[in-house]
Amino acid sequence: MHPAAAREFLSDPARAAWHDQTLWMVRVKRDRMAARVPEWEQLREAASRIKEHTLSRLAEYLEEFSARAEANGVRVHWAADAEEHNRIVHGILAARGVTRMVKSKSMLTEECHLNPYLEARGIEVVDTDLGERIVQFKNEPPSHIVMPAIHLKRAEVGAVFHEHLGTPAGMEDAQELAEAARQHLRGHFLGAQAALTGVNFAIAETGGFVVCTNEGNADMGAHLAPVHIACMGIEKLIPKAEHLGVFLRLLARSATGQPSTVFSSHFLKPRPGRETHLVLVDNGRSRQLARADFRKSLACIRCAACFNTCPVYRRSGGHSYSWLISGPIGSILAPNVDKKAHSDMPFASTLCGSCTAVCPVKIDIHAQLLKWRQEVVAAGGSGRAKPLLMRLTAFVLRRPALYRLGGALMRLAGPLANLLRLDPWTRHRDLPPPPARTFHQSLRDKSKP
Amino acid sequence: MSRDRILQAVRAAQPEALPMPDMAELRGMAREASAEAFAATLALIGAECRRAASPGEIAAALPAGQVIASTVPGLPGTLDPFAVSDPHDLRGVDTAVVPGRFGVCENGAVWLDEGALGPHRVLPFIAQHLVLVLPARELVASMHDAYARLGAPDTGFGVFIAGPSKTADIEQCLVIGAHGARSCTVWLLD
Repeated sequence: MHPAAAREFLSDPARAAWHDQTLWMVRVKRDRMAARVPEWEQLREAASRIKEHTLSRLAEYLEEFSARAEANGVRVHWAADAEEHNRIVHGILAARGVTRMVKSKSMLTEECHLNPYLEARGIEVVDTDLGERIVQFKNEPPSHIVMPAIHLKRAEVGAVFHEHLGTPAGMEDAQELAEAARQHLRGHFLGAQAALTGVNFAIAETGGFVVCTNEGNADMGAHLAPVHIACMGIEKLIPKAEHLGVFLRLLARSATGQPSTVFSSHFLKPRPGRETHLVLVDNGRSRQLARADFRKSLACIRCAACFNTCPVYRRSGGHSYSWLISGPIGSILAPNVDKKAHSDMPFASTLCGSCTAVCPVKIDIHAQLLKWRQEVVAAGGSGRAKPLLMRLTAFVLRRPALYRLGGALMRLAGPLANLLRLDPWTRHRDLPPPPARTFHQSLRDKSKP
Repeated sequence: MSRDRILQAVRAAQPEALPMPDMAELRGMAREASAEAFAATLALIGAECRRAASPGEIAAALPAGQVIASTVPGLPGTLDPFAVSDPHDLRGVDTAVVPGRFGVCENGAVWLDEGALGPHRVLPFIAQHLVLVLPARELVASMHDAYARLGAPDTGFGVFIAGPSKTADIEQCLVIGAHGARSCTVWLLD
């Protein structure tokens, strides 16, 4: 459960404060970048409407895209679920005798648990995004979709590299650590027999796809290995190349506060004599598409702006959530994957709406969180205490005399709650003292002539 | 077949068709491209902008004693990428010198396509340092203008490169030189 896991995260207050402030700094950088683009709101509106239009004609665009991609010489595969996706990728690798593969960031392959599937079949998978490599060494899931190792301090990264890369003990300089990773991963790039990448945008009219990175790891993999496999959810489509102008202006500014990712690579055709495979994955997306209330969640471009702004995410960390995509957007995607398993994720929010305000494609995240809560409660997923409390509240509110008595008692209960730490709220701060006079009393005072 | 199953499920799930938004307004916004704006953005993203009157001037500025692979006409390096058959053999390149087609002022990105990269797409990524060369007049203001210029793609691969490779994955400390180039110099040729 999120509250229990968050308690663990908060047991180290200094680290929790660092996490909170660091992500807020990223949010501030995003604001600064957005403010430099006068037509920012117009861009968001355009992005939102392009995505809504695409989702409303997704089947046609998928057909157009796959036909053009195949005409470009790309082999297109279709996977209905995670199992089929993993089977397809393994099939491609096994048929070519691949035992060493490098992978750039792909939340889809995390969602499908591709790494353990391939490793169990004798294929070495090396994650090449620096943050992902760190969490892969630690055998942990990423805690943030853009900054996978944001939950770790540099001393911990140093310890991981000391253990796995043989760097000197106690190395804590980010520059030195990144250099060690560069040297280590260069060897893997040069030795890989296949490279797998994610896809940021796939363009129906051209059959091409775009992959964005800052590190250059997707390109180092894809242009060296003889086989390139790109995996994408079916919602990554956009109709036209000119729409990239809108999305590439929004993506990096929203994600990290950069005007652009360093590399925005446009793949159209395989290298001469080489292979490019593209795997289109549904895995629950068509189910989400059918839910009118939650359809818009498929517009997400995975910038993680909603993570960085979320007061709950910043103060509880990605590993407090039950699904690998955490934060506000994860909390509206996860219940579609498994409503029971992730029933408490929509409650890991204050519903403040900051996520919705920063979302570059205008997903109504906080409204969807509330709708998921309603679904979870209707399905009896809110436990016993809350409905009981609600009934008690309704009982009291219907009886004015009891309500007034309750109000008087609560005035005394406040200091007691602070003293006994009765409420989770009072664990870290005191309830403010209640005003001396009740609302009814002040109203009576005011209405006196 | 999964293809048919997926398409059927999507068709059943998708709502009534919504109109494609009109891009004319965003495309038509007046923005000015200038070498000054471009250079300022490059400085912001950790790249360097320099100006030259001739390729020879650029050649003279390249460091001596390095393995330099160039695909810029009139600017020969020490290693001819066209003479290399396996891209892995570019691993020792210190500096790649590559012609850009145009630059984008708002984000410092330079468009490179397959024609400019020579026989190996990996060249600008595998080199330790990257030098991009483009005519000073080939600047556009925004990404909308960039795609208007690109039109229908006529190349198997193309990339916008905006500065040197970087990472902030360790405690959000910015480190220049992740897997790609450790530095990026953009030369504007007058």
